[in-house]
Amino acid sequence: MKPFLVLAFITVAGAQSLFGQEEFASSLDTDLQFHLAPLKAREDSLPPSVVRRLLPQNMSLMEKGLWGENGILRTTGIASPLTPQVRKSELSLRRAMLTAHQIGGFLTLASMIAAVYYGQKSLLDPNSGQRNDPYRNPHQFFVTSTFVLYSATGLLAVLSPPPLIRRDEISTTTIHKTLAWVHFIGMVVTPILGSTILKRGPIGRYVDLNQARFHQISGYVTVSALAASMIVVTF
Amino acid sequence: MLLAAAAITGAQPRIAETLQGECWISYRLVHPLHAIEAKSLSPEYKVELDPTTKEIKTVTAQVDVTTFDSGNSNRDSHAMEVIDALTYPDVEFTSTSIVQKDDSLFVTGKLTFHGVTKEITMAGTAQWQSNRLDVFGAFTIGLTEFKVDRPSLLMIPVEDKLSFTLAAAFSWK
Repeated sequence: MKPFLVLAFITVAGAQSLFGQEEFASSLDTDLQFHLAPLKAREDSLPPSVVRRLLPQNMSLMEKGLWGENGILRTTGIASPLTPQVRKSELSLRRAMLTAHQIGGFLTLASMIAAVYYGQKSLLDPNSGQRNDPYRNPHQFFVTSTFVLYSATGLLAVLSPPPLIRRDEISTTTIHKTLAWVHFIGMVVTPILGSTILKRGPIGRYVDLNQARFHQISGYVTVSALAASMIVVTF
Repeated sequence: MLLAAAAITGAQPRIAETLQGECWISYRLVHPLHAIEAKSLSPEYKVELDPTTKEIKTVTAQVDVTTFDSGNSNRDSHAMEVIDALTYPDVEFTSTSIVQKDDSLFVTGKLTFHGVTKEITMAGTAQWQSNRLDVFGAFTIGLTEFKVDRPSLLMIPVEDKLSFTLAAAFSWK
């Protein structure tokens, strides 16, 4: 049975309420402004208060939809309403998820390299495509484990609570995320290409080497992108 | 008489005006894979000085920890997590003794970081001009002495040593 891969991500865009600041001073009558003057003077003499944001301004759609002030996790009661204490817990959860993401990344890379190794061996084997191909089963095993590990590792990053700070910048994290798109596309395309390799002919099943070449290249590009995305965060 | 009055007022320690655009503080943290440097351009320094004797009397400083920028906000956010920036948003310093010899400067005082107060000494230089003072300094602390769990990348923790360098400029009339 040919394996077929379907990945679906539901992106929930959180609605952000915009509150305009009212110009109270202009609406106050002169008499009231006079009575408020000493209070205003006192406020002016205090050091400026720093407004500390609990959520970064430029959250992704996924983060806003899940973890925003009106995100689905808060409106459904899965996450508590936003307070500094709650946010501290979310940052701890984020750290735990991202640590697991790092461990998952190593395991996924190891599994993917093994899948590529056995795939290459299978392709070079004289029994390639036949039931007695000794490398076919190990290749399939590591393909499955790569898919499971990759999905879990990716979800840990995508679903983690947003960081405290996010600036518009190009950093190693930006490159890491860009490469993530490359290996994500590779993870979708490679098994689809793999499912088209085996053909049925008049004397039984055979490997279509032209199709195998695309699958092979896609596999190597995917594993390279995954390795590069891990290496880049060390800079 | 005017000269005498000027001499008297000149001898009084005064709070110098901080030249905000010229002040910064940076930290350096070393991980086996790379070194991290982050800079804050908005530290709040305050010095009380005597321009006539070229003496710095007191120093206070405060930095909002979220203003440190290493060029990677994800990494900065991780740093904010480990130092619990939501509970301890500021690093504060108050001098207890200041030793000056020529251009050399040693400022000892209480540093409050991550809710822990420790005595530290900053070594630096003080360059006096007619109505301006430029200070450059450096000091090092240990993360664990301030009860900060060392952050890690790829399961490898950073070194314990956290080195700060700073620049401050002040003027008076």
